[in-house]
Amino acid sequence: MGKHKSERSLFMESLKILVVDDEAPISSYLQRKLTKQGYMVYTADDGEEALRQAFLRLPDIVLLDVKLPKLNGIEVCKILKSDDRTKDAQIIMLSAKAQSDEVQQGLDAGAVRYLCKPVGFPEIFEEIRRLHDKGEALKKGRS
Amino acid sequence: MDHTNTQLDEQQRRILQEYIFNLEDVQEQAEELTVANAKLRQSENILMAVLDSTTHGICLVKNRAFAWCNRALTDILGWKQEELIGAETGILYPDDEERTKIEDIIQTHKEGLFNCEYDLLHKKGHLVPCLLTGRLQDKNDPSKGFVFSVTDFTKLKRAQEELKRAYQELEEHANELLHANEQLDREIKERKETEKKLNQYRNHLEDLVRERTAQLKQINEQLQREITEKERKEETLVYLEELKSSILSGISQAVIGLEERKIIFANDAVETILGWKPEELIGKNSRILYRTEEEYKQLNRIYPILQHQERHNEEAIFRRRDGKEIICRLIISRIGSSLTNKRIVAVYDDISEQKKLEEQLLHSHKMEAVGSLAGGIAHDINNILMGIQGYASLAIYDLDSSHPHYKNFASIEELVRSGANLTKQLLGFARKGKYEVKPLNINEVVEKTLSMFGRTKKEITILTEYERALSVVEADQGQIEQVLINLYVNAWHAMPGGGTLYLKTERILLDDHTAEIHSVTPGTFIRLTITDTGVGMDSKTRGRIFEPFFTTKEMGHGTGLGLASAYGIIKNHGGFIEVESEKGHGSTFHVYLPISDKDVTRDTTSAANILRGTETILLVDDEPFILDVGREMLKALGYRVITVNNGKDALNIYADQRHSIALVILDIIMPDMSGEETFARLKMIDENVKVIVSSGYSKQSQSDSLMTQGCRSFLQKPFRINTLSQAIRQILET
Repeated sequence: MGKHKSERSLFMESLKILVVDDEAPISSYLQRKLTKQGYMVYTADDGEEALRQAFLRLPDIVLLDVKLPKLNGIEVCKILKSDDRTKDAQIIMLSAKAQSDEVQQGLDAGAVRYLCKPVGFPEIFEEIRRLHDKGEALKKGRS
Repeated sequence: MDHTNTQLDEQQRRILQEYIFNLEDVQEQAEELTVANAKLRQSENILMAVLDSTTHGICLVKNRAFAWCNRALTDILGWKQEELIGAETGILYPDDEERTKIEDIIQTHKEGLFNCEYDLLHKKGHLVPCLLTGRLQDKNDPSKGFVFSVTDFTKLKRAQEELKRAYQELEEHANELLHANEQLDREIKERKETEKKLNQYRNHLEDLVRERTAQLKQINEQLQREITEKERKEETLVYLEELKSSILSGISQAVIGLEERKIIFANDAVETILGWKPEELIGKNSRILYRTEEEYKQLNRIYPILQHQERHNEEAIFRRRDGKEIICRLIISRIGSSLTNKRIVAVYDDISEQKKLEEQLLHSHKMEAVGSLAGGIAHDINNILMGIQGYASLAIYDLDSSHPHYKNFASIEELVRSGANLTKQLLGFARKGKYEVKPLNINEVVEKTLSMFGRTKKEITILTEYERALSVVEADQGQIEQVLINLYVNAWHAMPGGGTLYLKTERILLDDHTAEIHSVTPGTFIRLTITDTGVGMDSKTRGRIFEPFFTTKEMGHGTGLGLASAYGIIKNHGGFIEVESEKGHGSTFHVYLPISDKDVTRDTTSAANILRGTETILLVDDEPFILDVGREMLKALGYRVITVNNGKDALNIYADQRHSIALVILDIIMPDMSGEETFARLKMIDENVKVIVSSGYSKQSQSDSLMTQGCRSFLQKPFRINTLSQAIRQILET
């Protein structure tokens, strides 16, 4: 993993990740761990702030909680997917809502993955890695 | 995991999420701590290694007792580590008084670092001078004790004492010197007074000397001027001498200085031109440069000439050291304005090569001129012979062999053949008449001629060495055979008592230079070498052997045409002949012929029968008697004959009667319209016209171009009736 990190910092522009969760311990923990892995990490603690950060930072990946103040995660996901600036961002839902219809709703809104809480950091990181590698492959394919 | 998770409600999930992240965090911190511990152990090891390897004693003192010490400290003080650790620091102090002193120092420096010199007690009882450095281990907590560093001062102390002693000795010497100096000062004062008196006396003396010196200086300056002048002249002389010798060694001509014909000087080029080193020549009489006494004396006649003029040129022959003779252009100048002691300078320029080329050029011009003359004569004689041959053939054709005139006519035919052989030789020399050029294997030609020759000359041993690679030349076989037979016969004549004839064929690559000398195209040649062990030739004979009618044989034994025609024939084939010979040492002829890459062609020889026919033949020749005899011969063979004496009429007749004329016999050399042009026009009238060309000789290009235009038959005049009859049938029946 250390190797992965140094490669990224040497050869690639850092991937930008937006972490959206209204619980500060969760978002700050994710921010700390992902920063250690070499990503540029931004946080937001409600739906409106999430949209503001997304349009400002244009993240590659969004870790998005569903239960959020002001605007819930499903709404945020739909808006991001319908906007030209952010429609390519990969959205991972991270939610305590684990009913299958809730999961389906998230995926319908445009999320690429729907992770049910509780989930360990290794699992989250694995998802990000997978998306990231796929993104690199796509980029290579295009050029 | 997912399906068990679904059992949980949303709130539980949230709490669990936080709990998991906390757990991960703690776990990570624990891992980091383990890593930090390992690092700490590592640096502790390093520290211990450093402490163990230093020569400074280091210890930790707590409550006036040793808590820890390194190995160096035990080395300095004689105590073992286990004896020191736990022991009171007091064991290092000689008495209580000293101990209080050191403790006072420590007390006053409680704030931090201190150092002092102090004698510590060795285990064996003696004192060790040490430098002590100490500090609190933790400034904020004196109870943690002191760290001391102890450096052994013994060696340094000893050195200090020695230095001190040396310094004292120096001081003593300085005092002695001071005394001596004072004594000296006194002596100097006395001497100065004496000097003053002496000076007064000297001043007077100097005045006297100055006068005298002025006079001497004047004389000296005059002398100096004279010396400088002389030196300058000498320098110029040396420069001129160097210039002269570098000019002389730089030029390619040999330069020799003579006095009364003795060599007094020679430059470097004499070695190249005359073969002698300069030092070998100097001091010798110049006689050694000449072939004979007579030639040596010849030079004396130039002395009177040089009385009147400065310089004289002439060409003369000299003998090199290696015996080789060279022709030089000689420029002789007298040394100085008069001819004292017959002093002269001679410059020798070797022009042998130039002379040789000039001679060669002259020779080839001569051969060319004689050649064209011979060719012209041969042509006319051939035409006459044709007439005689024709009439003789006709006469004998009608006669029975029992007739009294039959033998006479046969003799005439035989004599005509001898005459034709003579003209053939002449034509060969004139480089005319190379008619039947085809690729030949030269080894086969040599083999054939040798067997013919060897059969009749049993007293001659023949040795051969053939080139192994197939060597083809494009040549007229008859002519090449003629050349070879000529050379064999000459060799035979040169060996009246028998001898060996040595024959060799080999491939030779001719370089540009050699090719240029012989005016041939450079490339691969076949070289035929014919060597005999006969009487050989002197240079005079050797120079003339290729001239026509030059012969060394008695009257009646040779025409003097053999080698001349050989020369012409080989030249005509793009080759050349070289000869090496010396009186009494045999002769060698080298025949060079350009090699060809074509395949050898063979033809079948036709039988010598007379063949008859009845067709109509158009005979064209400008010589009326040729027309007459030709008509008779053709009629005798059964043919109908139309004769015309020029090309224009021939064309008119052929145009009118082309369907009845089966064949045209055409002379090449005719006034107005040549045979060549006539042939071309005949072809315009009839693409398939059948033509035999005939000539006493032909310009090479004409016969060649006629052959390439499709005229496949050629009759060399004079021809016999059977040759004519075969040529006609061969053409008409193909």
